[in-house]
Amino acid sequence: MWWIIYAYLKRRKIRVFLTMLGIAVGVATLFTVLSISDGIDLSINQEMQGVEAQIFVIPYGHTHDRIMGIMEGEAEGNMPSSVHTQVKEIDNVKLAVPVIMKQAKFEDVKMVPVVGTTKEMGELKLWSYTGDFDGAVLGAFEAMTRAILPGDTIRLEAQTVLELEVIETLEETSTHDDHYVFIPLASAQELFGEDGNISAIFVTMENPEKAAETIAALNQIKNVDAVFAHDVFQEILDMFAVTKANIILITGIAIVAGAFTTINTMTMAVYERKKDIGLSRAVGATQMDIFTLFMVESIILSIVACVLGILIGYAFLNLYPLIVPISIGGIESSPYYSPHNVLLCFIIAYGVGTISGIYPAISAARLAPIDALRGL
Amino acid sequence: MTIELKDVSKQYGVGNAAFLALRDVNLVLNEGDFISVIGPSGSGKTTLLNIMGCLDVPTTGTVLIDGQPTEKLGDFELSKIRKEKIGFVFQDYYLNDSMNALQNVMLPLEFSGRSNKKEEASRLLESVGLGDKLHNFPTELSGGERQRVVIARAMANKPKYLLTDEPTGNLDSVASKKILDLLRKLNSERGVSVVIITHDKDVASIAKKQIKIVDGMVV
Repeated sequence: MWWIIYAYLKRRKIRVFLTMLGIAVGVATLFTVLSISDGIDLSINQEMQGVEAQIFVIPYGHTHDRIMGIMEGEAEGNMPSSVHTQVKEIDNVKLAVPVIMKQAKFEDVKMVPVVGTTKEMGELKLWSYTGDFDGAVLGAFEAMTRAILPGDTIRLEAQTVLELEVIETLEETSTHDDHYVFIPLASAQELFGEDGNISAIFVTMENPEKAAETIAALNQIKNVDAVFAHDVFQEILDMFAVTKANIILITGIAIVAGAFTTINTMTMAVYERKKDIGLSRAVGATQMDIFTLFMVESIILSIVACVLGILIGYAFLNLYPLIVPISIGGIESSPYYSPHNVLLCFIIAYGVGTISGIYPAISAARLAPIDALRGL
Repeated sequence: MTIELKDVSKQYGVGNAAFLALRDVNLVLNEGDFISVIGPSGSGKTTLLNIMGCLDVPTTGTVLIDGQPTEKLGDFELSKIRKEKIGFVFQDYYLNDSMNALQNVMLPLEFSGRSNKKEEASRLLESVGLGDKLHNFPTELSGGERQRVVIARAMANKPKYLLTDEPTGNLDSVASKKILDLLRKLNSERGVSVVIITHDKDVASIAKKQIKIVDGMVV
């Protein structure tokens, strides 16, 4: 049977290619959307684990914007450093790490997020470095791209200019931390002209089961908001889930359009091949044989188109992030190629092939042998 | 082993547009017969052949294939009869242009579920003198060669009955002779019952028995 289908497909190369292209574009879009969204999901989850903090304490008001600011490495609003002392005194607070986060010019070249913090940040992030925190700790990306090693001196410029010795370069974590420059809190306050101010406090608890009481106590502090880190990330995930659902719906329309192209091609094939169908019936083909031939042809078209679509999607995904960085809620990500998505594309293509083939296949199978031979 | 038509009539259209293509035809094609059906254009010859070959169904009357009435048979059974017992040769060849000569002959073998299709088809094409044209497409063959491919295809499933509709209608005299010799050989050497539909008296004369059909009636 395969050779019969191959013979027919070979006869109409251009039309077959254009039909496949219709489905391939839909599949490519779906594969791209799924790979990007999976990459973003993964990045958000990695970020969630990388932050380590269980609670964010931030200046009062505009909670969402302030959290997004922290994610993007440039916190909005300030609160006095004295809040840090108040937070530490609250029952069940294990670690309270103050931060000030802003952008500064790095090595006179580009702006990078600089995090002014205390030694406790190392404890929070489980850094291997345990010495005094009296210099700069560089994220893996910045250290690697500039070939900076511990002992080197870096230059940061904002309100003032600072030159700091690099005391540690971090391992790659695939989170924001890879792009951060961590410096002592006092140095950052001087760099940004924010003497006595901090942007946020990252909090961990002794007993997470007492989270409700802890966050209630933190919210008693004047002019601050305390929010669960998990809730923040969940909010980003939920926000993204809605966007993702809408994009997939639009992609679905592209695939449906591709399916109509296949139905059209296969229906045309029935009209064009009436005599061939009649001939096959004359030499013994049953209605089921004819039905099967058209169905299999339609499914093969869709499956080959699916392979083409995945290749197009893969090529696009390798080019697109070079032009437009993939980022949501300040979290950068890269596409994630999942076998699950490839399988899903094949299942959808199989479904499109099956549904597209049904009407033409039934039409072909129902042709009376003599009418088909006469081309009626 | 017979194809028997009993009081077969075939009407096309309804009401004022109704046209009776066959009227109460009674005919028997026995094993080893070589019959020619002669008549003018529009006399019902092709309709008769299509009904004998289970490609079409009569409006009234009965067609028996090897004693089995066909009017109540479903698609699967009728397809099985065409596949196993009947071979067709058409005036217009009806070769599949997407397939080469070999593949055209492989087609009935495919629907029979045979495993050695290629070897069998090659052998059949060699037997009709086209061993060197296996991979030629129909457009690359002469009329006579195409008709020989059609005969090879018709014989693929070793049918008992070979129904031919104007098999030499589009051929010159040399090619016609070759085709008629081939049909005669199939009848005499393999015992295949052959029916030739024609309007050419010379072609009709090679048959052992001649039937004349006029206005849908055997006369």
